[in-house]
Amino acid sequence: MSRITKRATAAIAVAAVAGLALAGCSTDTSSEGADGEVVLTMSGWADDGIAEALIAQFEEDNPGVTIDYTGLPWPNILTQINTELVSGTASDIVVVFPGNGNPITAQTLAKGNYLADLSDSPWVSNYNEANQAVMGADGTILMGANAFTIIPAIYNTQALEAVGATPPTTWSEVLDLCKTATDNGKVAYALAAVAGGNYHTVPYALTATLLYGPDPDFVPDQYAGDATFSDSDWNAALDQYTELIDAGCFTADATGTALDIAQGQVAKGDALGMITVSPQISTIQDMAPDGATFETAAFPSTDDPADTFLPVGLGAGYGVNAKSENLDLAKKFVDFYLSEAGLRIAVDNGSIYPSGPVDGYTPPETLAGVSDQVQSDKTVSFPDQTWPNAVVNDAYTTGLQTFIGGSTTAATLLQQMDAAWNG
Amino acid sequence: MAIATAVRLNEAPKKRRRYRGFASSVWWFVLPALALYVFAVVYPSIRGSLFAFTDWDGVSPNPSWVGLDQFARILTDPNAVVAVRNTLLIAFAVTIIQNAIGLLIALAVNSQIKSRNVLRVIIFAPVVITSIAVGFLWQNLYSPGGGINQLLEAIGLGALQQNWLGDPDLAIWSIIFVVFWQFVGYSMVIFLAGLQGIPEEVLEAAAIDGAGPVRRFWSVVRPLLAPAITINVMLSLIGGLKLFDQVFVMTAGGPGGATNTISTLIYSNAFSLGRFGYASALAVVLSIFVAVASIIQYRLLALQER
Amino acid sequence: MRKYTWRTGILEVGTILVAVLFLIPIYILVNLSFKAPGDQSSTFAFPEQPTFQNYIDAWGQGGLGNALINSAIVTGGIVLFTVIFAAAAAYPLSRLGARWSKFTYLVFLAGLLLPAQLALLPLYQTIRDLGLLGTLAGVIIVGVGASMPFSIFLYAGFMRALPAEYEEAAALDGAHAFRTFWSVVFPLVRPITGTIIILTAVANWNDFLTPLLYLSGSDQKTITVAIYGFVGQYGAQWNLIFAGIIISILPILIAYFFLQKYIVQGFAGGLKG
Repeated sequence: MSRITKRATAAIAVAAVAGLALAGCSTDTSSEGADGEVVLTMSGWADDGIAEALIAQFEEDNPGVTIDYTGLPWPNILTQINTELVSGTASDIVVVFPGNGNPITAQTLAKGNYLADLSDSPWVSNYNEANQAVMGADGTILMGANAFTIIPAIYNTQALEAVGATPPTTWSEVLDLCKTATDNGKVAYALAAVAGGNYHTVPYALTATLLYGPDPDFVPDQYAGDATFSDSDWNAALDQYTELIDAGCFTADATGTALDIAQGQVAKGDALGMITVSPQISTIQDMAPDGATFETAAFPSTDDPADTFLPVGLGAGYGVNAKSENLDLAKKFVDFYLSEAGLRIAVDNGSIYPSGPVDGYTPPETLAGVSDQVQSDKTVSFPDQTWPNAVVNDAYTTGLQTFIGGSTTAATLLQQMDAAWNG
Repeated sequence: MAIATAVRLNEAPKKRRRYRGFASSVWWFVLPALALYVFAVVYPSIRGSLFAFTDWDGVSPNPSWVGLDQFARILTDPNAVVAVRNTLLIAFAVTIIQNAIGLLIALAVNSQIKSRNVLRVIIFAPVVITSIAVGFLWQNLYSPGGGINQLLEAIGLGALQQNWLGDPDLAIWSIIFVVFWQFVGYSMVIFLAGLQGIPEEVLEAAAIDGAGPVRRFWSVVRPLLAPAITINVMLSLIGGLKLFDQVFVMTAGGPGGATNTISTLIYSNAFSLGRFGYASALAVVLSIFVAVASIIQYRLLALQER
Repeated sequence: MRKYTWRTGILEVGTILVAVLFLIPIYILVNLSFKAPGDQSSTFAFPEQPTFQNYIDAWGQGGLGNALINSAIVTGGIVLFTVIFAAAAAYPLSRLGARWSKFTYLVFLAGLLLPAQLALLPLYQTIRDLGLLGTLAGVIIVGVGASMPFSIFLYAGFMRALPAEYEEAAALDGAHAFRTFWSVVFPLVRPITGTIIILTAVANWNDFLTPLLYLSGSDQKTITVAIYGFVGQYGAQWNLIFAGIIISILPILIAYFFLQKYIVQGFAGGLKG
């Protein structure tokens, strides 16, 4: 190295250190610009077309307001927003999930009073008691969500036609469909039991009809200590799960199959359908060849179609950071998000099922098979949203994997869930 | 200046004066590194480990002190037992496989073969891909109808097809193989740097003496490669003990907790189960684990460096 | 110079075979990046209709151009300061037998043991208090501090093995200590400097959690943060992600290709210089 390059290197090093120091000092943390413009910050999903459209409209309706949007990927959105709320650095508007079970759910965040109380908002009355219960804690409302997540069976229409079948409406028809599928070298239902798969949604569909639908007091009884998983029809649901597995209804070696592989099987028609949450329909459609169409039906577990309940839960939505300097404006955005105008923007920009009334709304073709039932009283919420802590969910998802693999019995699994419930 | 000179004069009679001379005058070279390191690692780690003595759930404003309760809880947590076993298995298996094969590859691409520059890039390429993508890629390859099983079928070894990630006994080995694939290039690079330090003449002299390749390696190359061996073993051991990304993406500790490591357990307790205090206790235990394992292997390797 | 014999030939063929096995997953990565999302051909099969669309979409939707620049600044900054600070610190630590230097060395080594999870929240809050959230400087400071144990460990290991005669031969003047160190000792450890540059660069180029955590809320994204924007709750756009990953690894693989020649020639050059 020549002397000159040495000098240059030293100079660069010094300049860089100085630069670091300056960059540190120049951070502008004020939320108001020079000409009185207000900047709202918002943390949401990366690549979210609905949020983009909502923000554009809100900025147009409120001159002088800009929304700074940060898109975050799954699953880091959970830890990121949680860390920011705990550290007091969170955006004014943040993604919040209903119930409990992850670090940014309404009930988890309620413990630290990180979210503003939204109980007086005009949209609250649109939601029934069960929904309101998971939107907050101790009678307050802390978040709102614009979409229902449904757990139907999703079918590949062309694959069904190819084997001459229609969506089953009774338990016997389900078993028939499994046989028809295997006779044609396919499987009836794609199943992914690697973490993050759809394996835990199948018992949600089964218990809807067998337990939570017919016995609405089961959850209150559990809280009162008068009922347990072990002594409930969860046993019947898990027996049916075993029956489906033994009948070859699912992807072979599901325990090693990841979600995107299972989604691909339905998209391609190697599996006739899949029991999973409705937002996955658009993922499956994206994976499918041009011209493929999909339909949905509630998944039955008795031989009377009138018995079937449909699991319908609130999806993720938004809450307001309690420490926001623009509390009223942030609330105004959430109100807009859940207003009819906001819901309309959402249904126009994404294939969601709106959680509130939208005049003249017609559900997408794929959801036609369940949309009437979503509006009826033959629905139940997702069991995990009613559980008292995240540990029950962990015991459930972990134990269910070994249950599917055949090394844990239903009795053991349910005992572990009871133990977790009691903490 | 006078004082400094006096100090040096005083030191003059000492035996190793000449050797220590320059280095001892530049002790302050350590300061910038130390300052940044204390700021970014030591201080926050100490603050973080204090959570291990509380019942903090990750969100509530006022955690209370619970003494050593969280540490006692580790002993009764069945998940922790499995995680500790897996962590040790991964660390030792990865250390042995990655270094043995990494060294063989380094020797091969340090030889006169013509394709060595390209081969070095190919073997190193997986190191460059982010762990999360590596995890997803292999999750796909390992799936029951995926690439590995297709390949086995194609070369007539269909009988060896497995449910690579779904079989609780096999899943941990599937993960170990991915870590090996991803990081063998890492070991190779450090071995290569070590091999550069061995003058060509030394190897040639050994060859002229008639020493065979194995003999030549053992008695000539290995002692000269000792620093690289120590560094590689230490880094792969520590990397294995702290393994997180690949497990988190491929199995998230499943099926049924069979592939949990201490790191995945820390993550799930801190961020999904609301047991931040317990997670911190696990992290403290993990540090102690890594320290003990590193000291043992460092002592062992120090013997062979002599 | 050793000769190319038939044995070398066998070695060459064998090593190439191993390399081919290594390439299979990478082939699949590249292959998927050229497939349209609806392309359901098998993993190994060539795309039905190869498409550059994934690359175009990833580049456009992810804003990868800006992200590449940010990644280059962050990685370059971390590598530069890591090499200077770690080499300087490792030198006295590896040469002196004094109690304080042994202890300091162990304090640095302890950093290899500490799980990152332990420091995560307190460090985030310290960076917040310093007003460095959302700045590249914050990420660089955190990265340099975290790189110290590993780099000092590598430097000290190799400096110890360095024969002391070279420095003894140099006339050493305390007034220009750093310059003397820089022109005498530093070139001697060039192979390990090359190794540290490439390994630190790879680790920080690929780091995802630190830039996500510290740059969140600002307009600045690094390449990994931009790429993982394609991961959603109910499925990821893997074709875009893979295209993005290939865009992101090319610069670093090319850098490695050239740097490794420098590493190889380095030691001999150091001896002569």
